[in-house]
Amino acid sequence: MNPDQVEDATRALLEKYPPATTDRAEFLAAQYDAGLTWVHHPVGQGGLGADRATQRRVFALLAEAGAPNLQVESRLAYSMGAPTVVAWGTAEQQERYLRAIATGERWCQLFSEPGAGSDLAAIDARAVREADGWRVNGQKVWTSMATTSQRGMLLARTDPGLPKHRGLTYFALDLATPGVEIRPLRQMTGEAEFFEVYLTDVVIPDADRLGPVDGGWKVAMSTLMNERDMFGTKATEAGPVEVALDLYAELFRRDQQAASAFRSRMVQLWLRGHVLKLYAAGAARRTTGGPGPESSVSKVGFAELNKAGYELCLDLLGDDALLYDTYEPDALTARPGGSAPVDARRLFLRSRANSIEGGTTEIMRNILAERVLGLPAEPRLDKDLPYSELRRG
Amino acid sequence: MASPTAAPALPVVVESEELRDLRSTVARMVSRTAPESVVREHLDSPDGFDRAAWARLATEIGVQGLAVPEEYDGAGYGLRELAVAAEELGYGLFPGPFLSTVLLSATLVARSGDAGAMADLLPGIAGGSLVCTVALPRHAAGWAADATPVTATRTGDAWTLTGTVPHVLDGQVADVLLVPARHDDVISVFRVDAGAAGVGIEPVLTMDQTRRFAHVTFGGAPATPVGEPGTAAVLLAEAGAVAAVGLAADQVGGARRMLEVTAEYARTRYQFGRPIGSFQAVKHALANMLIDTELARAALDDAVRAVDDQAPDRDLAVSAAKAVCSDAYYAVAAAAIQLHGGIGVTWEHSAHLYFKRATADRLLLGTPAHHSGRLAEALGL
Repeated sequence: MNPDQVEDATRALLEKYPPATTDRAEFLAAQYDAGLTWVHHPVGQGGLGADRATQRRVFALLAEAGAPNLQVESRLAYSMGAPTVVAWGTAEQQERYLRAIATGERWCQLFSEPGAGSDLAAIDARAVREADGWRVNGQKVWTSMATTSQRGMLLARTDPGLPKHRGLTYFALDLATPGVEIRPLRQMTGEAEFFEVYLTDVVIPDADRLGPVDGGWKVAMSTLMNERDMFGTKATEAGPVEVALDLYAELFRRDQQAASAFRSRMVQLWLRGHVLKLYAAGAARRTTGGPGPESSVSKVGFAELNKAGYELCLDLLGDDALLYDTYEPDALTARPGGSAPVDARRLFLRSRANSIEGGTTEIMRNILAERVLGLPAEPRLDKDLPYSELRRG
Repeated sequence: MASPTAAPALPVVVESEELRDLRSTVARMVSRTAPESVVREHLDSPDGFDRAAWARLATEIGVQGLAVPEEYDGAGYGLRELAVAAEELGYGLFPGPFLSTVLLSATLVARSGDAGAMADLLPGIAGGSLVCTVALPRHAAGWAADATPVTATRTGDAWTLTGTVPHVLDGQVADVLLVPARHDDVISVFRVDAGAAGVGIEPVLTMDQTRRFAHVTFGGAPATPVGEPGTAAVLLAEAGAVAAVGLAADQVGGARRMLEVTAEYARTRYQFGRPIGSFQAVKHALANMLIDTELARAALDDAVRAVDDQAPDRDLAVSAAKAVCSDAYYAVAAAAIQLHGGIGVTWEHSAHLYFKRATADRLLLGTPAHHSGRLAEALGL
């Protein structure tokens, strides 16, 4: 379908099911049946075979009409779960999962573990085959939105006798299953944006296995490629430059001489932010298909910009940098419709994670050097050894 | 120099077919007529470049006339095309007075609206037969006219210039000098034939031997005004903006070359039984070179847009590009030396040629500090 036909179909949907007077679930189901939830998916897999850019036009029309936006409301299910299901799911799974996501089911990610950060393939959570499915034991960490999700994208080890990448299997775990325990994980800022998920004798039916047994690594890669894409698109929002400019102006009004000592750093920070935004805009124009290694340039750039930016903010604050608004988690976390109010001190602490989450700056540099510049990979000690013989910790 | 062909294509250059053709045509000419052996020949040749090769660049591709108006034998394009050429010339360190003659002088003359100057100078520049330069009073401070040490004196209808301008770019080879000079409480631009009586030219040794300078003394040298009286500041600002972006393109080209050469070296140089590019310390330094080069190109593209569109943010975009590309080229060239190890500091290797060029480019048309100052003012800091 071409973009104009897609727009026509969207208008027809909005006319037939006006969002203001239509039940939310009914509207979302109708949107899915019309192929308008993921227009870039193939026909028969919830889509219309249009391109990605056209989906943006659909969202624009939906937003105008006040319709629900799954890309915002259930970000992980919509942007990461669904493409993985399309790439790996059986026909039955595609119909079941895609319809569930399209009608509002939220998913979270159960990949990282305390012993598997950058080296994701070293995960240790075990899934053992049983008559009624798979029995899973293990601990997952850094899960966003675990308490508000219905399903988790779970990567577990099914054959420790194989080398680490080859013994993994991917599941779409129903979080209401007995044995799933979710605990908040408090960060240095005081807030708890993330959760730990403990899995104790959790039984998963084989029907919720996504992709082949012991072939989960490639399935997980499908999910992660789309995560980079999400970070890439988020990165252009307002950030430390704006906060620093405000603090600079405030200090300038109060004490011009004190402000002038920061003038040079302020310009340098603005310039870094300016160029990164120009680069991100250009990279977005260049990207036709999926996310490429360009997103690693932005990822590294914005992470370092955030850290340097909030360092400047702290210096601009002077003695007030000694203080902190609140360490009370409830006052900081999960207020509806937005994040905590701007406190440069909290953002300063939060920014330390920017060069770690979603791929550390070190891993991003490896990706750029190997995939763009063609440098050889580091010789590895773990590639052909069975997972059970690897040194861990 | 190591062959750049083995390197995977950087994901950076996405442009129209016309620009791609221009880029590859210039690149071919550069690699054919100015391989490194030729670049080295001209490090200490009297002129610093080969006039025949310079003329070929004009007659076969029309590089010098890309942005010269059509009525003066140019192609009438904008900075977009000129910047592509500048980048490829910078990539190969093509010897020739591109910055002085094409970026600075042709722009200044074309913007002056002075029919006589345009008719006398532009066809020669576009044809590759005439070398011109602008006697900028202080390179590190960009293109401010008011620092000019030259005064102009009028006797009847005739003008003469007096004063000494140190380090005039390509002063040793210029046929015509464009000189900001003070008279009657204003500053105007004058043109002076380098061969005229009262013009003394003293070439000086430069750290970057790919860019030459001379001290030029005017001792009552005959001169002709260019443009209206008192317009030196405006004309230098116009020429300076275009030339600074052209220089930023030169910087991106040089950085790209050093990135490619160094990545190639890291793939093929073995120590401890491994290619050194498999060590993360080396890998990460190269990733930073890539990031610097990519971001520099983003700043360059934006400045080209701002100049060609005469956008309200032109001065900001130009200063951002000159500051960012200067720092990027310097950092990339410095890292290239470090990653090459011992061979990187030898005369034999090309790294020092680019490092010296990056050092000179950083200062010319305003240092990063100068442009940061302009940005601070534009931002109201």
